[in-house]
Amino acid sequence: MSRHEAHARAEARAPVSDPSLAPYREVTVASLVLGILVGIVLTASMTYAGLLIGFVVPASAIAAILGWGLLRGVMRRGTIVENNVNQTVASAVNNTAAGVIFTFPALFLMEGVSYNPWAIAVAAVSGAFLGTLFIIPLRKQMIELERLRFPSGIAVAEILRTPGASSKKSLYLLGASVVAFVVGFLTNSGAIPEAVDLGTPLGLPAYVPNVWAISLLSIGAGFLSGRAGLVVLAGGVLANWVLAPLVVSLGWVPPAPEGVENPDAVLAGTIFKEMIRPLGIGLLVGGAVAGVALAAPMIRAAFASLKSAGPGKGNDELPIGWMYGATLGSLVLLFAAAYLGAPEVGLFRATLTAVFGTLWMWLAGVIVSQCTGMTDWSPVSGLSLLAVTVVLVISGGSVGLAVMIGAAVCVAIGQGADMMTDLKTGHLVGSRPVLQQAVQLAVGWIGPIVSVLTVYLIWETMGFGPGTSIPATQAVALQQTIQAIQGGDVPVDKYAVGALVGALLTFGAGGGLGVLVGLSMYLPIDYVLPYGLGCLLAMAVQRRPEGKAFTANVGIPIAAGFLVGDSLAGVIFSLIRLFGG
Amino acid sequence: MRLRAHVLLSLGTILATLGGARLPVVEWSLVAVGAAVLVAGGVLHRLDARKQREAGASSSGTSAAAEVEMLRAVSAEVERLCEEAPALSLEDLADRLAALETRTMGPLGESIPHRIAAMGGERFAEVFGDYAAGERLVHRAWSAAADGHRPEALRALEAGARRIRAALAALDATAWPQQR
Repeated sequence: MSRHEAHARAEARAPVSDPSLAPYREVTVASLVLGILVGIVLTASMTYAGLLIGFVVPASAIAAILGWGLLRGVMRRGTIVENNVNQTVASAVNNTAAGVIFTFPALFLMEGVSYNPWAIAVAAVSGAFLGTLFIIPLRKQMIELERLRFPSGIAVAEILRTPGASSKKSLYLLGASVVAFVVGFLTNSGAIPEAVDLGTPLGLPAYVPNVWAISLLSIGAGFLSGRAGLVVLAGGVLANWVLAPLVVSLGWVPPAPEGVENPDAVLAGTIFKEMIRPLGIGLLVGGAVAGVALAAPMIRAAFASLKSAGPGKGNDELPIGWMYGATLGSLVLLFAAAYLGAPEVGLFRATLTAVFGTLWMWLAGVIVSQCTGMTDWSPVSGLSLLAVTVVLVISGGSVGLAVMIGAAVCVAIGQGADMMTDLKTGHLVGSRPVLQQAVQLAVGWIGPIVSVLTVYLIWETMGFGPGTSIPATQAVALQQTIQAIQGGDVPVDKYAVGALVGALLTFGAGGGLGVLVGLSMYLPIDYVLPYGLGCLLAMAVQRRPEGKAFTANVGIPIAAGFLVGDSLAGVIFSLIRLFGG
Repeated sequence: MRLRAHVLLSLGTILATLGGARLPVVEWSLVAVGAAVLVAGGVLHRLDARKQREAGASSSGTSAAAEVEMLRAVSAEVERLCEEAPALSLEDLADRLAALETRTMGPLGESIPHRIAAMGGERFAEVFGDYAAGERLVHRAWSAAADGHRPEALRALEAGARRIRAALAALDATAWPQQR
């Protein structure tokens, strides 16, 4: 079908027989229902998959593709912005699964820990609301002014725009999606290796890894990030190829116990857990605080413009009063959840926990949104771990309360980052931000409930954790961390050094540099290397004559296709594991 | 100066994180040296940025001036499209909007973040906040045209033109006499 025919058809099947009489379809019952259904199915699937294989995949791309099939194909009246609402709803419901599986199941694995499951559900639901509301004033700054990339947001926008785009662009997107899907499926199923180790043949020890994940998603995300993403490669190199060999050669890391099979691998584990991870998290936090201070004038301007905003007035955002209300609501809800869920902590500690939880949700939301915007990766687990650590300290060792706040923070920052990514997509297809924010708020509470219930169901029917067929690796990691903290093993000095370096880097060079370096230290090098390759490819292409046009017409659709195909492969593989064993 | 700043920032990061990585206790002297080098690198970086801004303000062929011209070109093209749109077929309108998005608005969008330091955060937000809203409305016009909804396409295009006009007016009010 030629483009002319496609447009003729589009005109012919416009919303009603006379388009000029009908409003342009955006938030519709069809888009909400479809988004909620897709979101619920994927939340339950991803909760199980997350316990089984340790990771989840986002729903946006899948919802956008299904949206075209159902809204446009079957109902024959879907619009681009309506499908954007559908994917916003689906991802708002689904993305909370990651927050729940990282925190909540740990409580099941720890004997003798008292907790109130309803209080945890309330905390997670309030996290879903607050994560969305806290991020509202930052949309202008991050998306419109700083122009953060949000590679997944670009990829989903490419899908949404496919029916109106040139046939060549659509073909590039489709072809790249198919290739990435095949490669992703083969790696997930073990038919081809997940990564190629170039370090061992070169004689490099395990603590200087040179391993390349076979991940077209990482290459695509790197391409979409472009030059800005190169800092991630630099940070990965700093952590793995500079710091690791230096600390070993200086004798600053305890030797592996005698008799272990692979002492270098033990050293690698120690270096990551005890040095690189706390330093990286510190850098993230210090860099984010400095970044907020530097961006204060823009945030102030955003607040000023929000003061006059409101739905139904043709304004861009939800009014600022909603955020003030959210702050107050957060304090009240977290206090109630803390005091009623863990009454043994007392009034003072419950208040302190509520104040910290609220502040941390906001700051961590900023950090995760920046990271997602710049690289497509988000350090949710690290920031939640820090929340759990701090609450354990200020609550006097209440594990139930710490995990509860960890779950709320995890869900909140996931919601914030998802909202920002969806708003980036919305910017590129021309959706109204206020409508996207409203639908995200309206459905965000569904995900935590579905996810918590799914965890319960799996625990009651199959069980999870060591010795079962569902290893729940993230929950086991949190359980071990909590036990280490209870033993007094908190690397406060390393967090402090990291925060100092992060703040100085951001104050000195700006651009969220501290956050990016921290994130890249914390990420596995396997994915950082192909991501860096994607960045270098984008830079090489843009240097050519007509490079910018080539990037827009060929490079971006292919990179977006890589993200979409790889994500789809992850979902299909998870569903096969779910139903096929 | 920029190269020196980058070298110092990299060196400072390596030294400070290396000192921080030591087990079981942090090597604070190395952290202090690294932090000092980082501060020196940051100061050089900021001096370099200021120098570039001053050089930009005193030369008419600067990127800042080029961006003002780009914004004028975008505004003019959007206005022209507004006038011609009612007579265009939806296919032609979508094509013209797509060309506007990639060829004219794309390069300006890429250059926007570089103007933060030059204009100051609040002024920058005022000018480019309006521009970005206009850009989003142009994207909406394209979506509506691609969906076959002419009234929304025209409405969004006109609203976008208004926001871009407001951005241009705010930019004209900015004190950059050499660039006009």
